[in-house]
Amino acid sequence: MKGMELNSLKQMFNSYIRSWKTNGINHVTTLIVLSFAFTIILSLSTLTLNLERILTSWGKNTEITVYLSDSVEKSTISNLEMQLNKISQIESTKFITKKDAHLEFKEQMSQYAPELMDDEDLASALPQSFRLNLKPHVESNHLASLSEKISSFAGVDEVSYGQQWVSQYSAIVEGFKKSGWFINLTILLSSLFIVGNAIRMSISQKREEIEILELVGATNNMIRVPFVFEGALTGGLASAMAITLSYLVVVAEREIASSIGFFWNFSQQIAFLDAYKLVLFILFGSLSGALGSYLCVRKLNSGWAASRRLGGSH
Amino acid sequence: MIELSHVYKSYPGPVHALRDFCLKIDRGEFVFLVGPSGAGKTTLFKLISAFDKPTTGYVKVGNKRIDQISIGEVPYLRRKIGVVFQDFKLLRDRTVSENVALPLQIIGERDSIIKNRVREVLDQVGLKYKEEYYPEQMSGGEQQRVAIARALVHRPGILIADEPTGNLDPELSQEIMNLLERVHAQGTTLFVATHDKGIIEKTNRRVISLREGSLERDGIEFSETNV
Ligand SMILES: Nc1ncnc2c1ncn2[C@@H]1O[C@H](COP(=O)(O)OP(=O)(O)OP(=O)(O)O)[C@@H](O)[C@H]1O
Ligand SMILES: [Mg+2]
Repeated sequence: MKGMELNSLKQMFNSYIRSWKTNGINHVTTLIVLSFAFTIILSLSTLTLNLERILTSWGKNTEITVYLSDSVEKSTISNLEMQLNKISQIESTKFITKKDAHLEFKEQMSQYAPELMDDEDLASALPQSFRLNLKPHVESNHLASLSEKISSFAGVDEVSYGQQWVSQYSAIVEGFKKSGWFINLTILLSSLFIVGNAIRMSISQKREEIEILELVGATNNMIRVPFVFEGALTGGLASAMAITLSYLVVVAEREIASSIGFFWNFSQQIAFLDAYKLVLFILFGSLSGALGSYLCVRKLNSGWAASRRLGGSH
Repeated sequence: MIELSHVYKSYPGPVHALRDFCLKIDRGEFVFLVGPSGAGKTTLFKLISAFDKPTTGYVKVGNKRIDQISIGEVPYLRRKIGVVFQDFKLLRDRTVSENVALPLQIIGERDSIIKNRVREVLDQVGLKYKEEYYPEQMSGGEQQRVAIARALVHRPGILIADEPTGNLDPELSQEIMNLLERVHAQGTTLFVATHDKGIIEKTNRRVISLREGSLERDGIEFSETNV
């Protein structure tokens, strides 16, 4: 495009370097503050991600047991089995008769309560049930609604999946996600402010340059775009630094988790965001930098900035 | 080409920098502006170069009234005018050649063309070997010549020069005047403020003289009292 040469990448980069030379401290401070802010955002996202991963991995191991009513008919049972097999989240169903249940119970309990072993009343008291395995992608927080659905089927007495644990944990994760959003939004807004402030300092430092450019015929965009570029570069740099910082945090967490070692796979569960998300994050950093600076320079050049400033003195 | 009609310009304070000032300069003219310090010469140039707006009255450049063009058009008007500012207005953190290249970069000229043209103009003002200097490494007279080079580099239709030889010795002054003559010969309209009697006497051109913001004289003959 004609008239854009002044804003070629090379030119704007040069101007960014010049601005570092004359105003390095401002740049360093901004970068540090901004990358800490971004590190908080990243670490929160990583934490939420990891909590969710744990939730999902529990979901994989979760079984649902569907206890049947005592007086249930054979036809009701086969009907129920058909209904269960139609549910897409369920991988497999296994029918457990009263006898199976008793045998299993005996196996599990023999060490603890041998005197119960031959109690025939108990054997008949254990209900028949279906044991359901879930497909891997089913998340634990869907268990509640799934079990509610199954409860309403004919012949079902009770559905059990270790409700308390999972639902409490998933409530915590949900809460975390929500407050995470709030915190992220707050930090994001302050980041805009931080970048805006840095750009405002750059502007006042370049006041003379802006006026001269204006006087030799630079358009509004020619004057503004380099500042937006500067903001984007600052935001991008800060998010790259934030990625490095929060990666170090994750490495440290893994170290700690494996030294505690009370869950054999706990340290493996701690993951960092994948490459695709990291690229997105840098983009996000650059964009918020550009936005913060745009908000600042929007009204920068009226075409008569020089005369306006010189209006009172010479 | 340039027309001012009943222009008043006042700054905060009691004095009018310009009072009821009228002027017409035709295309291709070479006009000198004289007047004692504080007479309003720089103020007049600021109005013509769309640096500032008159308080009342109007300024026309080309066929456009500066107060009536849109903000978007202002830069394009400024590109048609080359201005040698009294205080040079060079960018301190750019080299001489970067400073001179600015008007060409703004119009999106190709790098190779810019390079050649900048060399050529710097050669004309006698600064061929100081391309890579920064303004603060140069004397006042050298900076002034950089400002002249920048005003000429894009071959503007109008050249306004606010005391372009103010810091130069007589020999260099004469060289710069010769350069301005050549630029004029190529069709550029020139409006030059100066205190240099010698120059005005020699050239025998139209001289406008200002006093306390008003037009005092306008004519070819030159009178001692006006400088
Ligand atoms: N920005 C300003 N604010 C207030 N007054 C100003 C301003 N600029 C100029 N003036 C006043 O306007 C009058 C004319 O000033 P101007 O700079 O045009 O004079 P000049 O003829 O260029 O003088 P010189 O030969 O010293 O450059 C002066 O009285 C000056 O004090
Ligand atoms: Mg002056």
